[in-house]
Amino acid sequence: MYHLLKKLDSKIKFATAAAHCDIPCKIYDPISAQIAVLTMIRLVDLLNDLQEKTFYNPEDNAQFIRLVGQKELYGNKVKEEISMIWGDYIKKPQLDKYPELHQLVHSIMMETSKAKQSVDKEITMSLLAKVNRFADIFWQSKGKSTFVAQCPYPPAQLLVYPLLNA
Amino acid sequence: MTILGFKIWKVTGHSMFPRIPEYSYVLVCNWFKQTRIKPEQTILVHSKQYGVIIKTVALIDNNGFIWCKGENLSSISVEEIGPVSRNQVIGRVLSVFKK
Repeated sequence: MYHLLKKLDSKIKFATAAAHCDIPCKIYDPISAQIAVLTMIRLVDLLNDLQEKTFYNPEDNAQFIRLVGQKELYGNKVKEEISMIWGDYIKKPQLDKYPELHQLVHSIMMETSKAKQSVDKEITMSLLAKVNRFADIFWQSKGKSTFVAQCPYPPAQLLVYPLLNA
Repeated sequence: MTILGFKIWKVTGHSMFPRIPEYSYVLVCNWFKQTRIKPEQTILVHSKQYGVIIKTVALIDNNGFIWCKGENLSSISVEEIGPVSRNQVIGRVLSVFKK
C-alpha cells in the first residue's frame, strides 16, 4: 500500500502535514553538546572546591546537592544532543567517510555516564576530547574546516569551532 | 483530494516517530471532527504558528480546547503547540502507511 501511495504521490502530490521537531529539520550543531560538557567540567571544578572544606554547613550542603543535580542534567543534555545528531543527521555517506562514528558516539555515551557518576576532572576532560572529535567530524562532513580555541569563559578549555567563512 | 471526507496526507518531520516515521502516508477522516475527539487519538490540526501539523491528543481541557503532543522526545512540547479549538481540527488519522 505504501508503494502504491508513493507512486500516486509522485503524480498527484498529496498535501503534507508536519510532525514538527523541537528544532526545524536539518538544523544541527554540536556546540550545544560541547557547551554542556564545558558546564559539566565547571561543575566538577566547583564540586572539587567544595571538597576542600573540612566542615559542611547547610549552605554548603545545599550547594553540593545543586551542583550534583546540575551535573546530572547536563550529562543528559550531552547524550541527548549527540544522539540527536547521530540519529537524525548521520547517514550512510557520513558513516562511510568516518567509520569511527558509531564507536565514537558509543564511547561518548559511556564516558558521559562515567562523568555523571564521578567528580574526577580527568573523566570530563576525556569526554570533552571525544565530543570535540565528534564536532570536528560533523563540521568536516559539512565541508567546513575547523580550528581549536580556548573558550573565553570558565572552565577555559579548548573547543573545536567551525571556520564558517571557509 | 478529499473523497467523502477521507483524504491522504504525507507526513514530514520526526516528532511522531517511531509510530509515524517521516514520509509516511496517513488516511485522515473529517467525520465527527468536532465532537468525537478523545485523548490518545492522532489528529491533523491547522496551527496558526506551525501550519498543518499531525499530533496526538494529550488532553481536552474544561473549556473544550485540545492540547496536542508529539510521540518523540524531539517534538515541540504541548505548551509550545498551545491549545487548539475544535474548529482547527482537520480530521482524525484512521490509518498509517509506512515503509
